[in-house]
Amino acid sequence: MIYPPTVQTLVDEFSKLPGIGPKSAQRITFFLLKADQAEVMALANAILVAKERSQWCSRCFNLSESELCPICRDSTRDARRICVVEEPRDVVALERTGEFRGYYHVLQGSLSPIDGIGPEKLRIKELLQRLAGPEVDEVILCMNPNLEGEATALYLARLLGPFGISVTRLASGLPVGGDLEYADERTLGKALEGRRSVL
Amino acid sequence: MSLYAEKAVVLRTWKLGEADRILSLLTETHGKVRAVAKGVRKSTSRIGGRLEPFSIIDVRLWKGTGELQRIAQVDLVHGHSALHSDFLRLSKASAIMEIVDRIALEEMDSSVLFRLVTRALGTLNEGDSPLFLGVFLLRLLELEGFAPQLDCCGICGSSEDIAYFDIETGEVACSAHAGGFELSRSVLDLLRRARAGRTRELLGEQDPDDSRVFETIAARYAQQSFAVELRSLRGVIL
Ligand SMILES: [Zn+2]
Ligand SMILES: [Zn+2]
Repeated sequence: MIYPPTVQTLVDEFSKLPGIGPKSAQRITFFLLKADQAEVMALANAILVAKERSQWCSRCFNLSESELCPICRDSTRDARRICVVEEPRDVVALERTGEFRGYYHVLQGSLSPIDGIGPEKLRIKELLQRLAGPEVDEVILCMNPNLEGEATALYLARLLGPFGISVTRLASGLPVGGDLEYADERTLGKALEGRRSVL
Repeated sequence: MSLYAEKAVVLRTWKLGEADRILSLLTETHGKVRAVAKGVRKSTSRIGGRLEPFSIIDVRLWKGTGELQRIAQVDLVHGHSALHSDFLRLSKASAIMEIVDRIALEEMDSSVLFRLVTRALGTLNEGDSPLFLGVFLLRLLELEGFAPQLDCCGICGSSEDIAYFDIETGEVACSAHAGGFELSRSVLDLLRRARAGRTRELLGEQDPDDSRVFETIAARYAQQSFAVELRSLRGVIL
């Protein structure tokens, strides 16, 4: 390779990031090499601090800077409802709608055998533990409207059947194959409002 | 540059950038094709739902000078949506996609493979069977020239007392030449019936222990022959 080893290492590290191919990795690398020392330091520092301070909320597995995330600490929310999502970014999307006042549970992924992701790799056990108590009477499944999301929702629906709680899913209107996080607030809010029982 | 129409199975998809997807397709006549579908992850996309794995589609593809082709238009022929409904079926269907993605070549004559894959997806979509995956894999192995030798011991040639299957050689062995998977009479019979193409009859078989051994042997032998490790099978085989 024609780059000095340190530069090549940086290109290689960037290419490991999701959605970044070798060409983008080179572009980012050269952008940083041309940037001010202070800007680069700020970026490096932001990465380190975020990595150091963030952890998974011990109750809902959302991103948090403390044992419990701000949502789980908010006792004014509706403890009867839990909205199950795939990723922390879905919590952000749903919070933006302002339509949901319950709590969340972040699975940290979706079922995808082809990527080696089975039920044991998701925070499903922890969800079941949360449902053992008497408070929760509705679980809303808010998976992405794609193959993996669909499979995950159906798997959970079956698993939650014996709990005797209401299990609902977002109403259609979300385009199949799309990402939940790209849905606009109104569409997502409406889907939440019009949720239907799956059991 | 050219635009052409094809029938295809969506094998796998990967996210690309903010809103696009890369698709691996098994086409009916052009072998495996990698193509980009622009904007399909946006909420406004009308075609995203037609591009999920296991779907059979009528597609128009743009072939430019680059490595990736581009999806110009797509109609859904069959979505096989029942395959999403339970994890075991999902795993089996994923295993088919995974292995076909690994062995199919670009620009190969893929009509026989295409027919095998679309039929298998259709069958599994109708209902699961404990022997389904093994039967599929043995068909695929045969198609690719790796049919197992099940008649006589690969070492001494004896057709009596067959008791082992060696996944390295793809041959059975007699009890004097032990090596590989232990084979009960009934599992050997299942393998032989699969070789003879008695598919429909096999898909009706229900013995849970025999079928698990049968599936495991077929899967291990397929992984060995095609030099792949199938991630989708982690929850399925022994
Ligand atoms: Zn929390
Ligand atoms: Zn022998």
